Amino acid sequence: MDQVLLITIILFIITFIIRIPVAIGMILTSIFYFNAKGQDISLVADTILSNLMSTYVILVVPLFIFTAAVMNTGLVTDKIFSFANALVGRYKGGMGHVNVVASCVFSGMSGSAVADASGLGKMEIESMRRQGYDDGFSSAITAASSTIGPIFPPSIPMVIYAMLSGASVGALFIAGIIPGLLLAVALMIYIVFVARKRDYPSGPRYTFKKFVIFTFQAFPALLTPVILLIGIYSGIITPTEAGAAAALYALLVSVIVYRTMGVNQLKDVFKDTVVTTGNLGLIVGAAYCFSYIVAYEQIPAVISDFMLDFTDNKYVMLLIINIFFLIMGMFVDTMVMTLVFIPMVLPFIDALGIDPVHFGVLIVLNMMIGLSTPPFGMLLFIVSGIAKIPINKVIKEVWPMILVMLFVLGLVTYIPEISLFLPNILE
Amino acid sequence: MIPAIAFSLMFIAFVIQVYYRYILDDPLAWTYEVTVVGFVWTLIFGAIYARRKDEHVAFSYIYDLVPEKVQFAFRVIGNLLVIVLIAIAFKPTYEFIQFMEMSETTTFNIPYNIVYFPFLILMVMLVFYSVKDIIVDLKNIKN
Amino acid sequence: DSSDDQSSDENEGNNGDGTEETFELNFSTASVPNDAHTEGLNVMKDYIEENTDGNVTVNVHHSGSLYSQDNEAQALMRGNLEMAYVSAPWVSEHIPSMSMFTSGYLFKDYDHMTNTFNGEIGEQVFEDVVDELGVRPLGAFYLGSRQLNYRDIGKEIRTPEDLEGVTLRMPNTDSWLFLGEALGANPTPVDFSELYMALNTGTVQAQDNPLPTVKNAAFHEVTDYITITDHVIDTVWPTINEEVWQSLPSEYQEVILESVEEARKYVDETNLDAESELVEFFESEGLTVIEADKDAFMERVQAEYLNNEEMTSSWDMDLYERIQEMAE
Ligand code: NA
Ligand code: NA
Repeated sequence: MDQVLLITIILFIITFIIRIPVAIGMILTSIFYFNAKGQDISLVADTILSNLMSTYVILVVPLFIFTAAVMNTGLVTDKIFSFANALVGRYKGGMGHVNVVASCVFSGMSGSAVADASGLGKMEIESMRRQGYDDGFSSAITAASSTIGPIFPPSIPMVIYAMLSGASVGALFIAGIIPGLLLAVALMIYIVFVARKRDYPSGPRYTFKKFVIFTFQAFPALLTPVILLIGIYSGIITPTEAGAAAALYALLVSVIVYRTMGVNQLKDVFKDTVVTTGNLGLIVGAAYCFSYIVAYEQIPAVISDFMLDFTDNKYVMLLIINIFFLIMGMFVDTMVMTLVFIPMVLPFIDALGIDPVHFGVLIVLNMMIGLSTPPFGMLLFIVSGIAKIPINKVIKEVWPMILVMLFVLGLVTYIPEISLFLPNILE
Repeated sequence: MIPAIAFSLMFIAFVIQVYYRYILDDPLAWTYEVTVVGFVWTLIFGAIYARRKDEHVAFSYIYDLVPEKVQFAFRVIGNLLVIVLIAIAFKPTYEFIQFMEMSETTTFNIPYNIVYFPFLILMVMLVFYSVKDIIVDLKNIKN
Repeated sequence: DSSDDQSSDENEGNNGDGTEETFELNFSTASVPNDAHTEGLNVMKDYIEENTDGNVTVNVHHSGSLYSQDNEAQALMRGNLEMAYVSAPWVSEHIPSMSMFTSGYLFKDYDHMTNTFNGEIGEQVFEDVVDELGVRPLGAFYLGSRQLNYRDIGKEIRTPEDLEGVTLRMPNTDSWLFLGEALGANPTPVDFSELYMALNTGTVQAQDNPLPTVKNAAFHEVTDYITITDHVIDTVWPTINEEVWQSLPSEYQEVILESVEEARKYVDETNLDAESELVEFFESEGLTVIEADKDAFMERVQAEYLNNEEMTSSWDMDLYERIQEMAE
């Protein structure tokens, strides 16, 4: 390996060890690399700024952070969770189930796991904290369940995959429904076991009358996803604009219906929004610098040569691709993986007769798992930032959930019917 | 304050965009630019604010395990790294951002050196807070 | 091993022991591997490396992995990148007179376009780009002709009048939005990444793109009609940084020009074939493909441009006339 690249990697590890913030460490490492290579150092600023300006969908992130902050401050969250508690909270570890179910509902309006974790995460983690769950567990299940977002339709990664592979977007969307449900069920089964072992609380069992009251109180909040889905599917708003619609609706409900939003609360909301946006956005921006370095060093080509040695068996190939994407997913931005590595493996998929829709679903699922995989899975940083707990606490709790998700990935990989059943029926 | 304004502009522009396209059936072009620039400015000034409040995500795995003296060394080395590397990058970045004057945004014709200018402020503020942290650390060690 | 590579702008001279100068050209493109103009780069790469005995190597970075569509051209200008595709819309941002090449119905068809760009007029235009921007376009590749593609809106579009009140998605720049109006539609900016969904839900009713793009982005899944208007003949220009170009020995320059010609043949043929096959494909997918009254569109669009001072004040009208004469 090239010496400069080697020193760059070592420097990045050092910035981690001495606790330089991740985004700043990535920027410093990139400055070092360009300087040592004799390249234009301003490529750091150029790469960060131009990519952030051109990745339009990322604009929904601050809007969903804002929505969550409004709902939290405005106590809307409490109404939602009272309702959800009345619905599934009475089981042992009920709040864990609510966390997963909420992500399922949320995924119907979001195509991005990051948006799910940043938007829902705050209310989920705080409600679980209030009921005495370990922060590490709450954060980890929030990260894990938010990976459902891009598996269920709509899904941004699947649209991009469709553009690369020529597979039908419609079929891909429908193909994601059962795997998404499967993932939710698997995580809930895991919660059942953990809740028994750690004696997590079951919420109270409500009388029917109380259930109706809670539902009524939560009604304006419950309507949010419904309004958004109708808005998106009737063509009134685009998925990105849905972020703004959710924010506006949450604001109106808090101010007019619940009357819990004053000037001071609004200040807190803004503070939360800009800190989280700055934090998260700078990591995404800096990740683009790393992507540039990976591409410039032609690392993808090296890997492609390596894989060509294994092209005989379809099942072995899927295993290798899965392992490769899981490992890269720990380090590389999803968008970059999609755009750089998927085109590299598509020829193998084609040659081995693997259905492109099936492959699309499994590879998106794979990359979403990568988003929660230590050490660099972006969702881990997001949830640890939201819960304000050290990331190692999240990492410790997330490992078994990764295993659960890998089990689902195994099923989706080796039983194509899980993905292809619904699209085949509809054709 | 600045990031909150930038965010509000972005948010309001989105709402206006939907209103004009759907309710008035008269789509607007300028809102797109406001949302994108508003987003980038929210992000950069938000990142500066987060640095001021020490709320950037960091990996504290090893830092938490080592004795106080080593933690002190980690902090000083880290802040020196920030100061040296950002200082190296400042001049070329400044020149790049000046170069971007040749490109303009499509609706308001704002030259890109202005759109990108906050990035220079981010670099200055990162150095500023690192110098400040070192001074605080050195003072504490004297006492 | 990349450690002993050297980039072209800092290469060592002939060091006297018989080793020849080597050059490394990085070509960055936002296009994806299946695009004909990405495949064309491999044609170029092979031709150049073979005919310079490997002394000039070409690294192809596709899918925007090195630079995004938004910063590759400026990286090319600053010499951070040796080669990239540029296109008329980008050039016209910096050389106002070039906005002519982004206008609707400047070219009648493919032959008109390629005779213009890859002939005398093109040479002159590309020299102007070298003088103004320090980057050298080496030719013009055909990407496809833009057609109207729309949902069921209760009528078939054959004339500009049929487009009245139809929301047509356009890229978000003044010149594209003007083209949308000139065609007779109600242009609305939507980001390309949201276009599939916007068509599916009816946020917009129509979009315009070359047929290969319609298929690659799967827009045929969410639309019902295609009207063949050929209102813009889309091109990309493989371009090299001028300093890098001047640092190359003339025999290598010659090889590169030949490679561009090889790649151009490949890309143009691939896209022309694809377009003719795609009409059948879309029909088999249940879409209705309609021939527009092209003269009606051309007349209206050209008049809209020529009557608009703001759009055409910078144009070189002699050049415009010369180009129109090429059509005959
Ligand atoms: Na969740
Ligand atoms: Na989704």
